[in-house]
Amino acid sequence: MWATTVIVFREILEAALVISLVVAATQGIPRRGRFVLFGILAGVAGAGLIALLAEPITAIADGMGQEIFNATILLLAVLMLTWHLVWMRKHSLQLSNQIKGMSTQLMQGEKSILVISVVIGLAILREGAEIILLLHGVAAAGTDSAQQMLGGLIGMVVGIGVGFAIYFGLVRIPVRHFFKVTGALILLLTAGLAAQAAAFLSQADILPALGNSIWDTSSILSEHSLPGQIVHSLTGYVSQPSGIQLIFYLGTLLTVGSLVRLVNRRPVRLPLSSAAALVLTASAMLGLAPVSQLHADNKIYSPYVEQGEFELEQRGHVTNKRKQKHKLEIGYGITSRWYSGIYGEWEKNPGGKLEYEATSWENIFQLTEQGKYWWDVGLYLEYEHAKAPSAANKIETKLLLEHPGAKFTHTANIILEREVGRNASNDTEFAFYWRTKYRWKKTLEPAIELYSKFGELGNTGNFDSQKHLLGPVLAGSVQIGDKSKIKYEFGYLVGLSDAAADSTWKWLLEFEMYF
Amino acid sequence: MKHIVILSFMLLLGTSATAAAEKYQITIKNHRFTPAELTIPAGKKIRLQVWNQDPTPEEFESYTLNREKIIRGNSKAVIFIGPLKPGRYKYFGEFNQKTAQGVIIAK
Repeated sequence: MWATTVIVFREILEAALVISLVVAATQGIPRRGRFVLFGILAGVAGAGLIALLAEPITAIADGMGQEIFNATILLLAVLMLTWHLVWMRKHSLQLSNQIKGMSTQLMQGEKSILVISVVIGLAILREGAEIILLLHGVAAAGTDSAQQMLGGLIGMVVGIGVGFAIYFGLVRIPVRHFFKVTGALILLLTAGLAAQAAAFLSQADILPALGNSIWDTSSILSEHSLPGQIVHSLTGYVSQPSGIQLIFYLGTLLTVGSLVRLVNRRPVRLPLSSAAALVLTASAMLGLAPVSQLHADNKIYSPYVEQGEFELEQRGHVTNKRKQKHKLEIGYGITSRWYSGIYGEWEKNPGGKLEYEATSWENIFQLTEQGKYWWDVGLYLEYEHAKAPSAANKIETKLLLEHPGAKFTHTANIILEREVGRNASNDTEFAFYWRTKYRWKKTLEPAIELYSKFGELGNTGNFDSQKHLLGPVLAGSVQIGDKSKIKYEFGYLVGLSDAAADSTWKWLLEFEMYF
Repeated sequence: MKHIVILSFMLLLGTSATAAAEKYQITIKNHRFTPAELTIPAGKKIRLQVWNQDPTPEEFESYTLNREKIIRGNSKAVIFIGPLKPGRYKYFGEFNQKTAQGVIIAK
């Protein structure tokens, strides 16, 4: 019920703000009251029509299975809310500018006064349609309709009330703060709806449940109690979440949250980026470049994906110049072909502190069945989001090849990396990694690893300006219990070229567990 | 460049892909493999389908075969094996090692 209240309240308030803006901006225009009223009525009528149409559509879709239908509606609602959250702030700014421009044009007689009705009508139509769809979503999540009506009504009354209050200057809440708070609420709500969708999909056996009850807090706060219900509908709280619900909840929170931040981020001030460009050009002219930008770290990937396997991994390296890099990754085999993970990256320069550098989204796609061809093939896709606004984001693709032989396993990674977005350079970096592993025993497999980071494609420079590393690595895995194991790698790489560090210690520790 | 790499790779794959591999099946039921002993021709690549009829997942694993694959409950997975030298190759179900044991015999 409270979910409906929040949604209706916010949409109504948005419409109310548009109306107030129009009304305020068109003061002094004769007969404008009549046009405002006409706009409101037309908008409400239009939204009503959509509501009527929504019913038969719902009836048609009923044939497709309740769970799937509910999940579809919920996911649609998630998409709409995401869109709403991401564009709202920008949109409202543009809108108020447009409306101000409109009133000048009206005063000068350039536009028909009917524009007032159209703007208001469209605003109400849009918000109304959103309310209808979102309410279907909430209904799919299982609140009963009487409660929903009540919730919606409360939201509507409060929304209109606050709208009026703002217009008459009774409340001087800075509108931006207001939207920030309700925005945060809607974000939680969206995540909650996504988790609900996941629950339906796992019920229909389309998604795995990944553990039926990751934790149980029903003794502390049950969803059947009133406070539990309020918290549930506002934040998506579930006392016994399944694994997939948790993943959807956190995934949505993370994705939508960062999207909102990304889109609404203030542009970087020009001097900063031009200074950076200057430094780059200067160093290039002095022959200091190419500084190999390749971020690809010293890990060689296999092309395999294990469905239902959860991974937690810490890896890093430290060079003879005491430069450190650490990565912490958490990931999951979503299907038998697709692994997805998220990792954070930390760096430490000599004398400096360990600093957070970037967040990455990593995906591995297994393309061929194990052993079908001489090479097993996989594709690796990664998006890296740099923390510093002056640093560019990156997309990394790798072709993963592995030959699992009886005595030796050979693995090759062919890597292309490109910067994207702001401050991105236009080069594609190229690298090639190789590992040959001797299969002595499961707990201990000695290997040789080669890392060749050639630098910019088409401008790779000479051997010494590229980074080439080679060295021995020990790897293995230890079983703990039935369904989990620990994997390790430990190695020492020697720099073959001038640009590479003379020596690098690398390590990897991974915990794998099947749910 | 990227396209060239991928394209040449596809060609490589195409030429090295052998004629359709012979098909074999192993089922998992009550955490046991049937047949527990599977005889296959030596020197040939075979396609092995593992059908897990238990509701619980199992991991087909063999260090000597260099294969490892999780098979979810009530589902199937495909693993290609070989070409093998004549001999006995043990495998087991990692999640139920006490009962889930089997061997592939290459002759």
